Amino acid sequence: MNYLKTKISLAAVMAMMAMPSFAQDAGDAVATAVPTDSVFVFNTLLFLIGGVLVFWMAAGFAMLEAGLVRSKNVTMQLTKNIALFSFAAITYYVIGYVLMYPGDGWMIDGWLGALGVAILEPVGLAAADADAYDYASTGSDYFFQLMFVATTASIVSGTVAERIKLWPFLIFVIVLTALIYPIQASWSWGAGVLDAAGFSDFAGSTIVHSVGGWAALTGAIILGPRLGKYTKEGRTVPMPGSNLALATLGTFILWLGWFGFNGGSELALGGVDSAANVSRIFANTNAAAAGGAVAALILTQLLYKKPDLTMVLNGALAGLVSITAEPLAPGLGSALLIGMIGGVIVVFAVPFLDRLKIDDVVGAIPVHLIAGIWGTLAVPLTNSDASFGAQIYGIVLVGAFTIVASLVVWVVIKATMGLRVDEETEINGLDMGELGMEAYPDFGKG
Amino acid sequence: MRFSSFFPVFRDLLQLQTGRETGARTRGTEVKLIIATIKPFKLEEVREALTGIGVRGMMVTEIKGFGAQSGHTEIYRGAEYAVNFVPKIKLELVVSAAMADEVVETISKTARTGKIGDGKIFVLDVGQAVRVRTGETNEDAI
Repeated sequence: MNYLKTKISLAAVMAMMAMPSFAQDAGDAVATAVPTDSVFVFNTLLFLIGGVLVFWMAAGFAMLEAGLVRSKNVTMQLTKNIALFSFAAITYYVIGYVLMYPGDGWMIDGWLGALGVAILEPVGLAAADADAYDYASTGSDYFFQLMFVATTASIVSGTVAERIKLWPFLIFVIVLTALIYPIQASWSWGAGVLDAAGFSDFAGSTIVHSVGGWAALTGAIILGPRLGKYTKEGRTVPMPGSNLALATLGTFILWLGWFGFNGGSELALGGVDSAANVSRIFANTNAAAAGGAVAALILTQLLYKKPDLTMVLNGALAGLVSITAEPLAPGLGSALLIGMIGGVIVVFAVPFLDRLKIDDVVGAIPVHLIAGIWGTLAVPLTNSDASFGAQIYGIVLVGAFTIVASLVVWVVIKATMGLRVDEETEINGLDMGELGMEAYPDFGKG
Repeated sequence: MRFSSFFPVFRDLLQLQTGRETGARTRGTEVKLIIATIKPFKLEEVREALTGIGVRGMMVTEIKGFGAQSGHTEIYRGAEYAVNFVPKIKLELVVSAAMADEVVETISKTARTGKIGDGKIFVLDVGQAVRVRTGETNEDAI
C-alpha cells in the first residue's frame, strides 16, 4: 500500500503547487525536506479537518434540497440525501478508493485503476511502518477523499428530485460512486492520463462538480420534467420551494464546508508554504462565493426588478464551484471576479435550461456543471502552468465518459425497474406515496 | 392558508352578562350580515374604527380572490408566472339593522386607499341570530 507515497510526497506537494503535472517526477527530491513527525501530524490533521468540513456539506445539500422542493416531497429528499451519503461511504470502501488511487497497480495503465478494498494502517502505527511517513496517514487520506464522492452524488439528487423513485435513484448512486466517479478521478488525481496531459483541477470543478452535473443532466433528460412544469404552449410554471430558510441555511453550510473542500485539497499543512497556501485558499474560496452571490443579487434586481433569493443562493454556490479548479493561484480580486462570473452564469443558465424543458429542481446543473466548466477553463488565467488545451481536453474527456456511462445506467434502470413514480404519486407527493410519511404532518397538503 | 379568527366572537360569548334578565325579550329586532373584503394591511385599522363605533365582534378570514384588480405577474427563477388570486381579508359582521349603514360607512372610509383592489362590501338580511349560551336571538344575541 505505498501508492499514497508515490502519489504525493512532501516535496511533490511543493512541486504540485507550481507544476501539477510533474508531481510524479519530483518524488526523488524528498531529501531536501526532512520528514518529521510534525509534518505527518499536520498533514493528517488537515485531511481530518477538511474531511469533517466536506462531510458537513452533505448536511448543506440536504437542507438546500429540502428547502427547494415542495413540502410534499421533503421527507423523500431528506431520505435520498442520507441514503446516498451512506451508500457512497460503502462503495468507496469496497471499490472506489483503490480504483481511484491504484498506485502502480493499474489494470489499464492511466485509464483503469486497481480492484480491492481500502485498507487502513494498523492500530498504534509506528513511524517506520507508515505508508507515507513523510506525508500523512492513509486513514486521513481515505476519509477526506470519501467525502468528495458523496458530494458528487448529492449533486444528482437535487436535479432529479420530486419525480424519481427511491431505489432506482440509489442504484444509480451506487454505480456513480463505485465506478463512474473513481474511474474518471483516477485519470487526474490518481496520476492517470489526464494528470500526464497536464490537466489541472485543484479541488474538482470538473472531477467532482461537473461529473455530478453531467450525471444530473443525463438523468433529468431521461426522466423528463415534473408534471405541469412546462405547459403545452412552452411556458415554464414555477414550483416554489417549501422553505427558503432551510435553503439559505443549506447554502451557508455548503459555503462553510467548502473551506475544507478547497483548503484540504492543498493536501499538506506540514510547512510554512503549505500552511500559507491553505490560508490563501480559504480567503479566495470565500471571496468567490461572495462574488457569485452579489453578482446574482444585482443581476436579478436589474433583470427581474426584484431580487430572487433562490438565484442568490445558487449564485454563491456557483462562485464556489468556479473557484474550486484553482483556489490557490488567484489573488483576492481575481477570485472575486471568477466567482462573480459563476453567479452571472447561474442567472442566465437557469431560464435557459427551462427553455430546453430540462427540469432541474434545485439548479444543480447551472451551479455544478456549467460553473464547473467555467472554473476549469479559468485555471490558465491565473496559473501559468496550466494550458487551455489541457483544460479543454480534461473537460471533454471527463464529460464524454460521464455522459455515456450515466446514460447507460439511467437507461438500463429505466428499462428494468422504471425510474419515475406514477402520476398519482407524483401529484400527491413522494412523501406519502413512496414513504407514507410527511415532513410537515401538521400542515395542509402542499 | 385559510384560518378563521373567532376571537372577538368568543370574547363576546364569554362575557358574563346577566343574560336571563333580558331573556324575557326572546325576539329582538332585525339584524344584518355585513361581508367586506379589504386589503390585508388595513385589517387592524378597520378593526379599531369598528370597535370605536361600538361593534362588539367580527369574524375574520384570510382569503384569495380576484375582482377589478385582477391578477399580476411575478418572476421565480427567471420564469414569469401569473398571480391570479390576490390575498384579501374577509370580514363578516352581524350587526343590528340600525347600525348597518354606519358600519358600512366606517369600513368603506377606513379601508379606502383610492387604488384599485380596495375591496367590496355586501349587506345581507339575517334570518335569525342566536346566542348559544343564553338562547337569546337576533339583536339581543349580538
